[in-house]
Amino acid sequence: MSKFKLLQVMLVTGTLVIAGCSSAPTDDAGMAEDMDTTEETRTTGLMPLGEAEVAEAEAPEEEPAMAMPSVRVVYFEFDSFSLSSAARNVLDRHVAYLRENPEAVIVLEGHTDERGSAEYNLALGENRAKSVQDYMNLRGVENSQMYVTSFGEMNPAVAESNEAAWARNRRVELQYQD
Amino acid sequence: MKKLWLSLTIMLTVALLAGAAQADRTITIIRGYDDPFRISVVPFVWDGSGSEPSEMSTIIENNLERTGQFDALPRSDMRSWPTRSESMVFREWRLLNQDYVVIGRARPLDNGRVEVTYELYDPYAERRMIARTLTGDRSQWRQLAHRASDAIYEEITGVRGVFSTKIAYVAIEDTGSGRRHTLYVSDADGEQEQAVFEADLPIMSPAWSPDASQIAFVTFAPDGSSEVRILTLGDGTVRTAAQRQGAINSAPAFSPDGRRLAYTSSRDGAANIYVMELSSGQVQQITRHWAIDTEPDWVDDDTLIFTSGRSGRAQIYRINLGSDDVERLTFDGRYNARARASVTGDRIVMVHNDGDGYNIATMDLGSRILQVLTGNPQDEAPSLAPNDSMVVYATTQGGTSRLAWVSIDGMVENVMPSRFGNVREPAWSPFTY
Repeated sequence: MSKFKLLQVMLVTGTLVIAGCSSAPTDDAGMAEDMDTTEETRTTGLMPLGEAEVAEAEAPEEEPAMAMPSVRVVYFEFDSFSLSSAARNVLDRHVAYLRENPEAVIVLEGHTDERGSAEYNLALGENRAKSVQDYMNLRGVENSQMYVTSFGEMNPAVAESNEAAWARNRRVELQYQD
Repeated sequence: MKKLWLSLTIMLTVALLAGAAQADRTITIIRGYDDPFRISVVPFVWDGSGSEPSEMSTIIENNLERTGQFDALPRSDMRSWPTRSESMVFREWRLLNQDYVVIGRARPLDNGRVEVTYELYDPYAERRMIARTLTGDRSQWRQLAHRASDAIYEEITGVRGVFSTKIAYVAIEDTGSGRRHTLYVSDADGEQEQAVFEADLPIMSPAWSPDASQIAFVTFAPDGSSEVRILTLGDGTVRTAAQRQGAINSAPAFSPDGRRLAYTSSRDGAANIYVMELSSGQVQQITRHWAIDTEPDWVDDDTLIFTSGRSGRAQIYRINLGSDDVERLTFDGRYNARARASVTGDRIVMVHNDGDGYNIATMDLGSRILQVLTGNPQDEAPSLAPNDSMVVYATTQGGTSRLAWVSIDGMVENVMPSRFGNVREPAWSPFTY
């Protein structure tokens, strides 16, 4: 099942590479559009109708460009660099965005909690960032769009010593470059 | 030795950072030995202006007490304060149960120099054990006291003293808008810290060259790549030794002969151990494993120890250069990392976790017996004194990390109060003379 999916993704990627930009929307582009729609719907459902949204709704001529995904961090278990299903859900949106915007460049910045040695954590943070890179590359994002860095335990998101803080600190931040 | 004095003098000219406020500087001695040597360090007499040289006796007293092996008699309990051998009354000190007595005097010389004379006595044998004279710059009175402490300690215990050595460490201070990272070099007692490198991005893993003239450390390029740099203390110059965009280059350790640098790099994918010939820059890959290999240190010029995650969790391994034979050294505990080898190469210290927090542990490489030395929840980055007697490490308690010392037998423990927010990754220098 998962092997089949992987094959599908690889085939699609292959198609894209061969077909280049000249081809009509492929299956994959269609999939990305679907995702975009669901995202829009959900956003509209959650947010009260503000003036901006009304204005947007009144100008439907151009197809709206895919928005940059708003969730730009994924979290990890202790001493692990495996991607959880929640992390993969977040990354799938970035995959769609990055494939839609091949000029977009992203820095994948790995971090750990403070426990254990700083150097081991520096390497662990890099492994986390590489997990994200590998996942997205396998789904069609060019490696040239992604840069991997790690700060290990040196730049915590929450500078506290408790389980909740540690969970927030074991992360990869996805930072889009200007 | 001349070289060191030179570098010290130049370091003193490096501007002290504002905000290095003089907080409570007293070191807390948590525990010591049951039956310490009883010693009286009589206040040194100083026939000059200013009071610093007369504090030399206090520094010597604190140095000795901090080892846990000495119990110093309060000055107020002394019956007299002799400063010359003629005025020593041995019986008086025997009545006070004193095993040893130190007396001394200092006088100003020309050109801002001072001369210090100190003497060590055994009142039971009615014998003078040491009588020495030191000269130095007026600004070096603290170093002179450390030098005297080294000699007194060695005469009594038979072990070379480490009071004149240095400790490098990283301090992280909140500036309000961000964090400032500073590499400091201080005396072994944490005093007289000098900022030697500063960065907005993190600084990690300071490591001394065997002649104590250079410190290798890790910092980050603006693009976030970690890189190894080497600071020369004498002139303050910094050069980049290992760097590659999109890869980590970190965890430096000078070889005992000073000619090579072991470090970690992910330049070929996974984090592995490399060795660089410093004169040529030529690099040799030492480990080849998909798991994390990092934190190399030298047991001798042909042998490295390092941390590897190849068993699933971090453990300590040993590899002989020139062979691919890797031997796992640690089996006690679920996590052992950041090992440092003793100068003699017969033991290591490391961070150890057996499920109950991160502690400092030591292992004798002969017997392979692992002994846990500390019991705090979060201790990191142990570094051995060059005489193998004490370990300095960073301990985090109440959200603040600071320097702490523990003796290699776990019997003596000291903590230094926090001075700059968080203090991390201490590295004990080699002998400096």
